[in-house]
Amino acid sequence: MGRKEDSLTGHFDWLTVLLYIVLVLIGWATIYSAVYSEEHSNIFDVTRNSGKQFQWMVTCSIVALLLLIIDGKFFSTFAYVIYGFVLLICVGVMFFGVEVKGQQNWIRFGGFQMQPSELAKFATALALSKYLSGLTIDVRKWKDKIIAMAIIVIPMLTIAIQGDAGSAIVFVALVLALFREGLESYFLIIGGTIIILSLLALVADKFLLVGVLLGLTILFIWINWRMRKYTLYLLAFWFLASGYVFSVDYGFSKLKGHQKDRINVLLGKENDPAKDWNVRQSIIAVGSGGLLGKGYLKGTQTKLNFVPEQSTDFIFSSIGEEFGFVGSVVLIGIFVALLFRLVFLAERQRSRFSRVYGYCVVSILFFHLVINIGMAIGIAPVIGIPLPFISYGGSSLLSFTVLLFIFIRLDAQRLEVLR
Amino acid sequence: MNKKQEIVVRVRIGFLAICLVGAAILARAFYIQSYQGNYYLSLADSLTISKIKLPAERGNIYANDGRLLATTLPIFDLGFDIKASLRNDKLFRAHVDSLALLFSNKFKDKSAAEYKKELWRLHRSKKSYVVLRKGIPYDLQNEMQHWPLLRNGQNKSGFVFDKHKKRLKPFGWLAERTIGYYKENSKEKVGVGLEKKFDTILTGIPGNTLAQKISGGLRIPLESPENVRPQPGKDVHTSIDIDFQDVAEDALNRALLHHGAEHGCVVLMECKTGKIRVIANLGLTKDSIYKEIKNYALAEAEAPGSTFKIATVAALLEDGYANNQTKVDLGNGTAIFYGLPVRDHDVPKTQIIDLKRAIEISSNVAIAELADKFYNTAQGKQKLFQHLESFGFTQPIDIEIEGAAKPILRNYKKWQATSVPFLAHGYEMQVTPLHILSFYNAIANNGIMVKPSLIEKITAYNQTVDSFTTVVLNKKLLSAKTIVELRQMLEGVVENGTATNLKTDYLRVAGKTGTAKIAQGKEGYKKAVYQASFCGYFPAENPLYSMIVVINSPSQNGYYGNKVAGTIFKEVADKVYSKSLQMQKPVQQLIAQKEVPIIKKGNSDEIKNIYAAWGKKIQTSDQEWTQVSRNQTVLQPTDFNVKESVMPEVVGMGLRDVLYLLENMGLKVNIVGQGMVKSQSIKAGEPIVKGTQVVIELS
Repeated sequence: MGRKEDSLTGHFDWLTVLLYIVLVLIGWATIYSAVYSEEHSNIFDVTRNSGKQFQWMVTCSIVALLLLIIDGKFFSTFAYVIYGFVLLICVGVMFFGVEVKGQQNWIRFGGFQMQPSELAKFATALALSKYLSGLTIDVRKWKDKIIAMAIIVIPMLTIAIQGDAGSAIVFVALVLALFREGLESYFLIIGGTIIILSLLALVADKFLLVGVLLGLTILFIWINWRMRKYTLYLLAFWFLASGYVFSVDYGFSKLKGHQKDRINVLLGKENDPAKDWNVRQSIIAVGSGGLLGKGYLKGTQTKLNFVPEQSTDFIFSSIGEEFGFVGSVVLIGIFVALLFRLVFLAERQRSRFSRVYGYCVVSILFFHLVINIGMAIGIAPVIGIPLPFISYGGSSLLSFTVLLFIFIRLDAQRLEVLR
Repeated sequence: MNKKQEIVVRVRIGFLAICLVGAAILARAFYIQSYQGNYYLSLADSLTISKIKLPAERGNIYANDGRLLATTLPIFDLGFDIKASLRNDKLFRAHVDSLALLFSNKFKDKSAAEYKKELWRLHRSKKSYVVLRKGIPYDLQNEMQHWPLLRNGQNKSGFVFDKHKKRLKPFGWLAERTIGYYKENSKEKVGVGLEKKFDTILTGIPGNTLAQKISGGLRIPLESPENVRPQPGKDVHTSIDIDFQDVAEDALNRALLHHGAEHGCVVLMECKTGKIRVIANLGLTKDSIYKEIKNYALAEAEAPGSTFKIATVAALLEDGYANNQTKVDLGNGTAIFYGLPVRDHDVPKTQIIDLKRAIEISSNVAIAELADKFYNTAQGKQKLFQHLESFGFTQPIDIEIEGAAKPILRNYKKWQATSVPFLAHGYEMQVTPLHILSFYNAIANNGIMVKPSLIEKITAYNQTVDSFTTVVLNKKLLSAKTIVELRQMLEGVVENGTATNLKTDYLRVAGKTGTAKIAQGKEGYKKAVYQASFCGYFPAENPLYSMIVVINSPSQNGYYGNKVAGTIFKEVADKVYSKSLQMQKPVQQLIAQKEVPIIKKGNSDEIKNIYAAWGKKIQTSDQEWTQVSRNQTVLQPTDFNVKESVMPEVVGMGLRDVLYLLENMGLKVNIVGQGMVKSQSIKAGEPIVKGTQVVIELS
């Protein structure tokens, strides 16, 4: 209130910026290591991934600076415009996009190409924040809930249609932001139940599962006999759950071949080296790192192109191999510190817009982190999403930078007017 | 729960979720990195990188002039992976026609239609892999890999080139047995000759590299400080002269055929150094052709017969029991020693002759008598034996390759009374051709006995790492006096003895014929099986080379040493003579004997220079071309005028001058034959149109 612009720098959360810089530098060093060979030992060699990443890092610092200069009001004011514009690109890319690695979801201008699905993340976060910051909006109300969900689902579907199921799933994470804003717990419970049921249905015998569910239902009814009015709900739940269990197979059969393989691999149903090649190699790489790792630039598994996508999706295997468990702990520690810091920042916002946006950032980063590292060590299905700030790739680094720095900018203005 | 509390709970749930997931990830990471770390580490090493052996390039074997006798070349087999072909049926259908046509055009053994049929049959067959063609040389493979289907590689089209290495002998069967081979059998490595003997040197030291397994079962080598580059094998430079070897093998082959012989060998040795320039061994195979199948020169010990008489005579001369003029009584050409007859080939014309003459006519009786007279006592036997021992007839020949046969010469203590007279003319004992040659070489080399050697040097990267200098086995095998007398005898054999067919006016040869009856296994001497040989040296006055020729079991067209073996000896000696400048008389000497030949037409300066070298000064004008005619003995140079656009008379010119002259005039010259110009298709004096063809016939 009445604060001067020149003192703005003092309000930037420098700890977050520092964590960001540390992560990007770790990423750069790891990319260099992943593609390292003696005849290409120059980290700035632009024919190599490490050199290209450096160019992107320079680009990102310029973009980050610009974002810090732009007034925070810009983002809330133009949230819907940005959202609409990005949606347009996402649809347009289906017709005018360039195909890279089998996915026609890249746009190219000049020598520069990127995936609009990356842009959709912060655009959706902005739109969702804008909507929820409406004075009369309450996610407990069905109408508002549905509109909020729609804001998330529309870009998600557009991206899913393009064939990039992995990036689409990321949007599910935004539900966590709704949860903070008061979404009823049962949504999460139902969501969680569906996920667990789906997995169980694929692994266990369906009749046994239905039987166990029936037993559980009866147990609940018996325990809560005093609240008999819920009996009907519980029975209905059992009925729906049973139906769902039997329909999972059908849904599963509709998935693409490689998607089925990945889920089967994760569930341990598939043991074909050709199908779980990536994960096996990644686990071997991480596992062979041991407690202390093989040392920087000394990892053999990743360096020899053994782990596919070792500088993008499976970059964690490179870190795990060269720095071992200690390195993994440090990396995850830095990420957890960043997430805690961001939750802390989000909670100190006065404006709902900034808070929701903060939670969106946290949930997106969290989801990427869990899935990416999870798939590198074999506890999450392989959906090709990058490790934030670390993985090689201009689109991903740029989109995470934009996502994060908008929030840093908003946070710097938290003491100004309520938005 | 009020709203504020609820939010606090939710935020805490959020924190908890982050912590839980973080913990789960760390737990999993700890599990695979610590608990299972070693397991994955072992998996990593075995799965990805392994050391693979890199075989070293095998060294070459060279002739003494640096030409290759044995080398290793890459060679390819074309295979067909039918399963891969079936997977890409479309590709196969699209290109099978053109491939069949290319096959047919290149190999010309089947029509395109037949090839196509064959390819289709294989494509549909149930086999998984067939080898289509073996032994494709490198340059052809280079061309073929651009053909349709073949260029798509194994994974796409199923066609694949399988590379392996093949040891090649560019000169075919020349000295094949001596060069030898060394290969891996099912159980062990077997081989003969230089390839076997020098295997460790030729093989080199294999290296190793870390290699990464990539999909498709392929391995790609990796950079690593632990990699060891293979050290290529060293090269072996033999003493073999491939031109002489060629002449010798050819002459030997013809002689064997002509005489229907079993086998034979030729060895040519340089007197001073003991270096073997030729080692030819041919034996009759089951297919009725002669091939290098055994190293007879080294590995076959036989009764040498008359060539051995020189050894006996050498002993007699050394001990002072005889000399050139010692008289011997041949009687009627047969002498009985302790019940066993020794016969000469003919009834002698003169009964009493001197020893030199006895050698010239190769009298068995004379040598047997002399030996019996001086050596058939206990002491004498020992003396003779000691001589033969020092001549090297009791030990196998020491040479770089294996397989030298041990000579059979019983200890003198076991000799019977008949032993001495029979030993004296080359029976009751067996030695190899190399033994005889080695002894004769010592005579030619003024009594210095040198070790026979097949190797000049061993090189690595063209740097000599080991040179095989001459090893002197005995500095003074025989006294100077003995040498002189022996040489007179050996020269006499060719001058007016059993080998007059070797006499020429340009090259004096000295040597001794041998026609031995040899034992045929169990049948003994009953069946008349002969071994014809000739061992000698040339030029007689200053020996440079010694040579032995042995023909075993000639069955037709004669069996005498001079005819059967001597002919080959002469042929090889002639070749050596023609190529050895040092053996030939200086030009001045020739001029004294003959008239200077005429150079009819040619470049003025060159004609002047050539005649100057012959000691004739001729005057030519400044004209470029000169023609020479002869008036009685006087050479008369005149200008040979060449006018532009008019065909000159070029008959009598050399090819080089003709080409220079006519092509400069703009004609296209077509040459037939070799020698000097005999005729020209455009007559002299006719006008020339540039670009016209002219046919020049040479004679």
